[in-house]
Amino acid sequence: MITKILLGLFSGVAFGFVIQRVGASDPNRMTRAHLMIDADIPRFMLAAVALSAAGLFGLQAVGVGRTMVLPTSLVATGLAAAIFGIGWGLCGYCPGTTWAAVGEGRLDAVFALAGGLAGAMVFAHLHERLIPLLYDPTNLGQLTVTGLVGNHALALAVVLVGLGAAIYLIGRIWHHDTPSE
Amino acid sequence: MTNGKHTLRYFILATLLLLGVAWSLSAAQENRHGGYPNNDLLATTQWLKQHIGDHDLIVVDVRTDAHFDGRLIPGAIRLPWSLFRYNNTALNEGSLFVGVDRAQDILGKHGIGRTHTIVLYDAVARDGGATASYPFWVLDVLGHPNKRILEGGIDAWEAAGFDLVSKPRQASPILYQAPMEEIRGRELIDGDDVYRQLGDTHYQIIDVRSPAEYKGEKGTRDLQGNALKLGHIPTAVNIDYTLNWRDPQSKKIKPYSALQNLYRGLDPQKSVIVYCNSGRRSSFSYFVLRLMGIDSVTTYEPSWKQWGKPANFFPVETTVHRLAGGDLPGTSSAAKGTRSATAGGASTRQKASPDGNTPKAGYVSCGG
Amino acid sequence: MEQQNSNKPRYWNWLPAAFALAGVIVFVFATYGPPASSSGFVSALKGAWSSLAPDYIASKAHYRMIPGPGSWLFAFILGMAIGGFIGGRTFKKPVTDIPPLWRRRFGDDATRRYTATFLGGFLILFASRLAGGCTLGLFISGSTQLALSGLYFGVVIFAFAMLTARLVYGNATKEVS
Repeated sequence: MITKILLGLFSGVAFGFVIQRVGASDPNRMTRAHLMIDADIPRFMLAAVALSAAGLFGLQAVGVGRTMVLPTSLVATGLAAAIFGIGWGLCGYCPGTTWAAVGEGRLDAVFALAGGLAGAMVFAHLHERLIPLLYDPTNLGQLTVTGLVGNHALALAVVLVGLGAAIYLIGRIWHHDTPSE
Repeated sequence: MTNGKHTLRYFILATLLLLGVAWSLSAAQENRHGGYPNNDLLATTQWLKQHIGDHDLIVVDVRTDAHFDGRLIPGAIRLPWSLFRYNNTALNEGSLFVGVDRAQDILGKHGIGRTHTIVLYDAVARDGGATASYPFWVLDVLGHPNKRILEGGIDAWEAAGFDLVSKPRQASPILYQAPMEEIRGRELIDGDDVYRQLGDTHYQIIDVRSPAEYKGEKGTRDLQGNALKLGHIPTAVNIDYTLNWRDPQSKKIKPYSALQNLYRGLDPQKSVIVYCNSGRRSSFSYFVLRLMGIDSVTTYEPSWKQWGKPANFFPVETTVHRLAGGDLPGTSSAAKGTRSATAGGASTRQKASPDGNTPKAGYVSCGG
Repeated sequence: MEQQNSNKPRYWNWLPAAFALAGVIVFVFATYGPPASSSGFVSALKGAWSSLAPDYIASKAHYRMIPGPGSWLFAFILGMAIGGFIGGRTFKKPVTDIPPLWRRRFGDDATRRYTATFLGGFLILFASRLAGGCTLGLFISGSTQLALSGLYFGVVIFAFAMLTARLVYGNATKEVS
């Protein structure tokens, strides 16, 4: 039981450290990414996903690892993503970076954390009403690219190509102002 | 180091982070000892050892003669759980609850009173708490305030190094009187009650028998030896009572987080009805759900011995149902140690829903 | 590296950092499962409320789906904060309470910034819980598993974030940060 706590701590510390060091916990940097003047953070995220997807493929090939695919609910996932994007664009924090930013000592992140706790609490209170209303009706199930394409390796290749293209395009489209912080 | 002027902030932050770690570790420790919402319904051997001298504590060995091995926890009385049941030969329904009046009679004859704290126990062999849970259920129906089941039964007591005795305590009969308002008679539902609310989505029915019995592959018989119908009550889901245990050898109850996972999908706003064949196994799931803090749970005690009787003409199903968001295949899959996993190029079939009859995957959350 | 930029500390380059993060993520998949962060908020709430209002917590489906503080999940988000702490304390760049971009657009009023972040935090968490995850739990973990929900979520959050940032900050591309 203690092991899993230590494991979680260790994983979290490594994770938080990396995102601090790359500047993802810096709301200024994140906002610059959203304003399309700093391409590094988006490319960082997409590249991390691509590499992790490849890594997970490797894990599953040797029978290691636990997965859990979240369902796609057209309405709920989409609506939630919209609301999320608005909040993210407004403050420059997302739930994960909030924790790291608070650790970093950013005071505005502390307020984001407080707001986050409030938001989670409100949702948890309304869960029983909102989920049947928004989530269940257009729930398509736990769809994956692998399921669509039929083959894990092929699906991985498709996704990697897609992510690679996105990374390239972002590098081209986002203007880079000097100096980047 | 950068900010000299913000030293206080970082000091507070560091303190909070360390406190957070301590909180997490202590919560994890608590989880080891169950940490159930209704912990008071469970007695650990340590707790019993401490309280065994209390004058209002009664320890009850519920094992029937067939499973009694001549050893008891010191001071325990013997009260075989089967005393609370009878066979209704006229109706041809077996293993029915004797009723609240007779139950109080039985308790009183064994020296148990309303104000006693009752600790029930059985053995791992029979059946890891799943026979002690039957008298527990009876006491719950009677509204008896203080009762517990001993975690791990007599085997845990022995393993802890405590003494056993070979003679049960002889208790003098007293009057067990449960005030009428405190008896929860509405919990004694029968087939007609269940039948009436089949269409009512307010109820969730859990069949705690084995999957084979649930699916109608394995059946049971009535008092005359005739086969009862095969299948389960319509809309019921199947959560085998043995899943409440960590493993079938120790029969220790799963920790709270694992139980939450097992019963994931259970709607706390709705009432739960549990049943099995005779009402014994379901009394254990009843106990576990109560341990988890779910109070609106009822045992359909006559269970399949009544529902499956052809002459009762109750509807029967064999389609498999699952709780929405409950244990779906592929919801969370741990890769087994085989080298033939999907990565090699084997094709996987996309399923929008696990099988035609069940609801699609309900809400699933990350981190859960 | 620091000499080039007159001693200004630089964040890590994005590509090696991506390798580092992917390493952590794959480690997490191997030892636990898909990493998550929004549910960490629920875990913290569950822990806090359990002592004050245990019946409420036991009766709410959302809290029952998420473990309490004695879990890998809570330790993970706590670890993220600790990682941020260690990172921050060993990084030469001072931390700002109000980002320069905001400062330039809205001035130095701290209350305004803190209100905005409170509101922003509210929205992101409310939304994450509706979708079942956030950038990490849905987008990153999901896309790593090639899940459509993750990709769908990721595209939409970026689109709306970019739109919102543009609305909030005006056309900042002309300004040099």
